[in-house]
Amino acid sequence: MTDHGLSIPLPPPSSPPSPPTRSQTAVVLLGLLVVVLAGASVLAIVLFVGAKDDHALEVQRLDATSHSLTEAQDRLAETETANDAVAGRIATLEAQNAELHKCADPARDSIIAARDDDDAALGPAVGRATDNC
Amino acid sequence: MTTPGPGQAVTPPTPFTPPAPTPPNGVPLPHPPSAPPARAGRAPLVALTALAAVLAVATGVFTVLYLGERADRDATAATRAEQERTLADVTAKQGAADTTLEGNRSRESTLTAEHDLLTQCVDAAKGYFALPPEQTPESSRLFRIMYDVCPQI
Repeated sequence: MTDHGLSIPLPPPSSPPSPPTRSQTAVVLLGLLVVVLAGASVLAIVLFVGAKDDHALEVQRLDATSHSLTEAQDRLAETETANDAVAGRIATLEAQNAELHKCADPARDSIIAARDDDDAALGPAVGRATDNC
Repeated sequence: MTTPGPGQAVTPPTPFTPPAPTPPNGVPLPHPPSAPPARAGRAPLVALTALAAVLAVATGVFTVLYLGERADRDATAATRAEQERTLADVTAKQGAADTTLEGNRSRESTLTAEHDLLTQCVDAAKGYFALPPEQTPESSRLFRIMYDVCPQI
């Protein structure tokens, strides 16, 4: 109640439109930041999935290469073992043949001399054959 | 202070309340001044901040995972490249070993054939020269072997 009973017209309760406040600016900036971060998240996820697939593919290739390498190493070891065995047999044969030649060569010379009627060569060859055989 | 008369209700004394502030012209304000709607205005800010934080963490986590996967892939690729180099070396050694083995087997075959001839010749020669000088069927058989085999040596 006023002293003089007059009423003054009052403004409406709602305030008139005002320029953007700091809060509205922050909301806009945060919205932009969220959009950028969402894009970055999607990019990071896509890159991660791609790298994961690449890694899985590389692991498969590595497994295949490892398998091939193991097979090749086994085959090489097998070949070298066979080679060593053959080389050992060769050494044995060479030694045995060298020993056999001591008798076989004069015997061969004797046969050739007898076949050719070479009396000059026959006597020494038979002598060496008798000594070595 | 007066005492209430008969028929009048006794009202308790009300405590003193300060009058509402009035402007200088004395007209009271219909709406008392209240706090600005700060809480309602901060809700989007809080939500966006939380979302931004979650997205930043997700981006960081997936970036770290991506870098880890890429490093693992690079390490695997390096290991595979090393193994492929080793495989190339082994393949080259395999070729040389195959060539050596083939040559050795050929040499062994030649030596084995020579060894067979030498053995036949030597066996016959030893038997022939161990016999007495007279000609016998056994000496003729052994000489025939020598005649056929020994010149092939």
